[in-house]
Amino acid sequence: MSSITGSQCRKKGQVFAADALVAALIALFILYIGFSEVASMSVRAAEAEANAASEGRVIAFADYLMKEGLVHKGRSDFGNVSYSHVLEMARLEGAQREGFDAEIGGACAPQQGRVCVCRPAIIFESREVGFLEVCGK
Amino acid sequence: MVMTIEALLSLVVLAGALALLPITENAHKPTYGKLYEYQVLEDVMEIAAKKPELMHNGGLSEVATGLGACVLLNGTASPEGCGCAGKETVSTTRIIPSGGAFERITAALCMG
Repeated sequence: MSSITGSQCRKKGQVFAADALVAALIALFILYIGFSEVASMSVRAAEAEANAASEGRVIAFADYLMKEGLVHKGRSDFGNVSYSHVLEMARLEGAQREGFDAEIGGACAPQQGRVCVCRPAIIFESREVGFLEVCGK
Repeated sequence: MVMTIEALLSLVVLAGALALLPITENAHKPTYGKLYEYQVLEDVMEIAAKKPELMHNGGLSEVATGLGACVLLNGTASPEGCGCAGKETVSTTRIIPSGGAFERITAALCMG
């Protein structure tokens, strides 16, 4: 019983055998699909990383405002004291930074296309519980 | 070594697929969601420590509702009826002054 190899099926002047050509086409198709998927995943990963970086910046800035930037400061027998989580609305103007929007209010509304964090705090002026909302791009 | 073109192509595709694997592994990066939840829980505990009456007059329910979260304070849910069963939670414990003594408060929080 004789077997037929790809090279034996070639005609004179033909570089690829028919089965090799089919295999090559399939391989190219698989590579195309693979590269497309990887390119798509790379874009998604880059977007996710950018969002995570933005989220990290907003969270860090909000934490700074909660513990230092907006807090009520006073004097005690031990010296100057920062009352964390007790926020002065009067300090809000001076605490704004480029790329961030900080607001103190009674509720937090999600904003389209922006990363926002909402932190509960005590408002110094009213002594009521309110929310600090910090948004960033 | 003699190799057919088909076998060579298969090896090339296999090598290509293996080379692409490390790129796809980085597609899912962790975010700061859990850190944010922990910060919010710490905020709730700070507020509870500064205004202890909130733990008894339902004030914490308003805070939790405003955040879209469920807070369990010593096992009591705020807002009432919410629960964290089957959800990932963050938890913490505080000792706060209460009526000349100290009270141990255990709290847990889950979002959504």
